[in-house]
Amino acid sequence: MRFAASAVFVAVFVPISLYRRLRGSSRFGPRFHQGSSAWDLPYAANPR
Amino acid sequence: MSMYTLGISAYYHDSAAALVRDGVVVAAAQQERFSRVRHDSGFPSDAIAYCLDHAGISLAELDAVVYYEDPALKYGRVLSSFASAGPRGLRPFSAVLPEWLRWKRDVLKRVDAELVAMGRGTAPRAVASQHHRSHAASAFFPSPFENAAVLTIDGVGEWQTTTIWHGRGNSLELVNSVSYPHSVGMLYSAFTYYCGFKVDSGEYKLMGLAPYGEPRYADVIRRELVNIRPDGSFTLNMKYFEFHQGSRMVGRAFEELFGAPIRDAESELEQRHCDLAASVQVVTEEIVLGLARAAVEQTGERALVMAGGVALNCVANGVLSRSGIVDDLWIQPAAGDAGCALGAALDHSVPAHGRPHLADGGDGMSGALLGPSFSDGEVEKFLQENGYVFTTFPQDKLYDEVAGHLAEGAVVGWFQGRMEFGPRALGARSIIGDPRDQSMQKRMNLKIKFRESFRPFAPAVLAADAKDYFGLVGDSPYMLVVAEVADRIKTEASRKPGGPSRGLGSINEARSELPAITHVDLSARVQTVTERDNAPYARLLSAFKAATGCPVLVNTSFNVRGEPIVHTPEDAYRCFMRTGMDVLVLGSHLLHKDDQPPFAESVDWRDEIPLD
Repeated sequence: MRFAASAVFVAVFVPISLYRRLRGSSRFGPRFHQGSSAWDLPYAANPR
Repeated sequence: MSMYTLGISAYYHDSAAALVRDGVVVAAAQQERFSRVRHDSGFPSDAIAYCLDHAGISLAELDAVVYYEDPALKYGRVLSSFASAGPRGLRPFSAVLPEWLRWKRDVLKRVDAELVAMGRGTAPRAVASQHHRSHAASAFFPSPFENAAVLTIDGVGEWQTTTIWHGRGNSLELVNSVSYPHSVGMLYSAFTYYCGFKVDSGEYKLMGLAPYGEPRYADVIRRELVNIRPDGSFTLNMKYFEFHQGSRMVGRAFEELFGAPIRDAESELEQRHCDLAASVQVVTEEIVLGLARAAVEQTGERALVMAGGVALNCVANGVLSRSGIVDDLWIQPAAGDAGCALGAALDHSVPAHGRPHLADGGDGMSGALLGPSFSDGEVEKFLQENGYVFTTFPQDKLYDEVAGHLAEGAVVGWFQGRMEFGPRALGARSIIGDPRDQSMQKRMNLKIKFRESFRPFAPAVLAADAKDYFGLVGDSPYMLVVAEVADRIKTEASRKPGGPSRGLGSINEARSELPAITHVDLSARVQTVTERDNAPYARLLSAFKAATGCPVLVNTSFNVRGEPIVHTPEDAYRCFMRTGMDVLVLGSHLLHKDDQPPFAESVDWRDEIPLD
């Protein structure tokens, strides 16, 4: 089971991870970190 | 006919069960108190059995069993997280995936099987709620407010780490959320880990360490680790964190940022650890204030209720209570995942049956005294069978007797009535002492709790006298708000500009008339006590006030370091004999240490109980 899990990880998860990293399309990447809001739903804060 | 709903949280940490009858919380308990395994993550069969016995029902009489989170959604998040982990996720993934495939992604089947194995009748099939919905329900439904903004903040549930809800009457509506990996809980746990404490249990130590430090790393945290937006939302810079890769919270990038390796557990604490704690505490408070502001703006409500592990950060709660952002604040006493069992059950029951406690005023938590109790007869039988020496007092004499011992400097184990639900001892399973005693903090830490000497103790005060001793805004019945001690009881040195000396070298300096409960920054984690919430405790405080003029006691949980809070009279007696306590009060029965038969154990308990 562990071996199969390792194989799945190398064959599927690592390529997805690399693709996401290259595209910067992940919530885990710097583009999301630098975005204007992190709320899941749009919300315009009142000016303070 | 009454309708019963059982809520269950299990399989992560702090497993618990709660029983709700027609919208009223009947019983709730954490499994750790029964199994004696701290933060026990196993199926809470003992806690469930207690809830059923308390109500006098079988599993067949339940109308619903609600599990606190959605395993399918959580499974999706775990997979997605590994799909962003890169090659370093290989080892944790291959360890974790088989377990998820075997049972975790369909945990409800396991819950059903465990209930069958209890042999107490056939329960309804378990249904799943959602993690933050359970937190939100635990915060809003038992609160004293008809309507409120609801804010939940923790490490992570399924996807969400922070949620805002609008609570109105019997309904709860999701307004907004922040999702994984961006998490205040994870940020705080990352520093807990970096400073050498255990994740999911050492966070409160970091909070206790913070007042000894200066927040000189706060700007680094704001610049490099967290982006706090004007709209209250926030993100973590995942370049510095490793928790999503599955093996540890932080690694080399974090060490390079702060210029030192991760502290080894139990190694000597340095000033820089205090400064790190102070820094992450300040940033956490900023985030919590921003989220509270957003909750008020997005719901239009001025009353706020909170739950989730971060809501146990009583220093941040104190800052929030004084900020003026909200008019009223109520925090679920079991704000961690144990409280999700309660929320899951209430969320099922309240829409059909309403919130009956609102008609009585106050909240619906019964002072958090929702656990098992033992009658005087049961305690007497236990003491007699074991040959322990005790004296029984009528209720009107007991409080004066105990107050007299406290005034003479005795440390007392106080075991009364129903056990608390949640992480705090609130005067049902407490160790208490005289806060005026200069040596009390050191004595309690080193000879009774066997824990780090920097850790502060909390005061319990009669609610009517609280304002004379503490700068509280509102009440703090569940010891979840930190406030500064009042100027009138500060020492002269503490009143001077700049305040008293801080830093680890100043631990045992007196800063007020109540040195045992005054932290280095002149703060105290206050519990306000009323006759309504806990009559025996309020009467003891009144008796102590009559004997000494002081309506305050030192209160710490009835356990030693690493052990769950005591549950039974047997647990209490064992803890009493293992430690430097002088007097034990079990209901109406009082025991002196010196009168007891010799106490010997086959193994040293310090080898049995792992450090927290």
